[in-house]
Amino acid sequence: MSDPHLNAMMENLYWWGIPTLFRCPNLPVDGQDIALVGVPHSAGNGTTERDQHLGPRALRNVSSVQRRMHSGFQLDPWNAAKIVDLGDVPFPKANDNEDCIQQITNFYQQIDKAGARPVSVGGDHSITGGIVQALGCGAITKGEPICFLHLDAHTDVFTKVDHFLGAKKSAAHWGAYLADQGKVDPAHSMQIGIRGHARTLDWLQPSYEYGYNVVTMKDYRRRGLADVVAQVTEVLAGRPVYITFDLDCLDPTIAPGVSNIEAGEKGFGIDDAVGLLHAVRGMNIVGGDVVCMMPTKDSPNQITALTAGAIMFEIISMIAENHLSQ
Amino acid sequence: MASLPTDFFHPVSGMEMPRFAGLPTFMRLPHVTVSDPIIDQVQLGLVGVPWDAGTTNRPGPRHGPRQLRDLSTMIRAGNPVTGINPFSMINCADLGEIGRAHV
Repeated sequence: MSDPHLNAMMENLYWWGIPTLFRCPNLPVDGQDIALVGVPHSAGNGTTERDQHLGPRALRNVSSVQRRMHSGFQLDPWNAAKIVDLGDVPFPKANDNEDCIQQITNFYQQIDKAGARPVSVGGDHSITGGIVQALGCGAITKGEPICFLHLDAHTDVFTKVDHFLGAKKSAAHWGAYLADQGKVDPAHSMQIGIRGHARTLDWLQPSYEYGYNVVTMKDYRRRGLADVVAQVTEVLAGRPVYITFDLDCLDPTIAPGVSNIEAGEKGFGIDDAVGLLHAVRGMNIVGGDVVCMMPTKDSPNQITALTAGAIMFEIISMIAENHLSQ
Repeated sequence: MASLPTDFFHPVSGMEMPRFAGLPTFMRLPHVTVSDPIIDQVQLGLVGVPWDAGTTNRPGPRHGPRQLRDLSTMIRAGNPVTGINPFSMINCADLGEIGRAHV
């Protein structure tokens, strides 16, 4: 069977073949433009759900059906850039959060050195700390700190206690310690969609003190998409942008399989989320991640995994489009 | 023929990579395609046949190979009843799935 159309048909069957992310070849990073990576880590957040390490497997299982063209961009990302699935970050001490974060950093230093831009699926949100320890002030950013486009129900800038159930570089701490290390420039980073139920009334204070630009969900609804997009453009233009997307920023009706599900206030619809992502289209996007996927809490139709794939596809497409225009 | 590491045809150990991690192949064995020269050294090939168009009652077996790849990542090296470690006796590999020319 050598007919390319028939082969393409086979590749879109989500249940067919050995599952890789978006059916990309499993190859080493050298010479590649975009590196897709699984980060099956869940020791950074034990306060709610613990199956976030199953996220990459869930994405590999569904994403071949999402190996698509980007109609809005009129783009074939898979031919615009060289894109591979590097596999998963190895975690020989999977229950030791600090060791895992170091493993992540070591792995992404190799990717940074090779010049490929990583798009990752977690894993709990602590993985962003490990990734940006490698990318911040690295080769791809040309020595500059990372500027975040951070979509999330929570700020993850926790400073009151120096650990979360023993995890120091935890899913709640990365926004703080990356800024302390100088790997991130909070004054040129955005945190959008914050709506978590607060345990203390001053829970946003650490974000403000670090200088992050915070747009709560209430702010977003009051201001509207266009106004927030204008602020993203102003804050991030000309800087190395890293997109970190916590699936709990989405409304639980479209993303029920997340670890820190937030009831009580409407989250983003998919059009809001994609609209916010497109605010950085054409900017220097150095990488991105999608985190907090909880396959064991997903609906039987796997809508959370499919939505996570759709978000990853947007990030991949924007980076691929930049490659095409270079 | 380049010589392979002695453990090339062994399942990836859970001490090396947690069982939930990595690309899921049958029994965590190496993926060897039929066009790969290494195929000459494979003595037992595991093949997925994701097909259920002949089903008369409940369709769905086309999802079988994926499920087996996902869940066989829990496989142990030895058979506790017979005491046999098949992966040390014979070169086993995941040959992929039927349905495409270059697999």
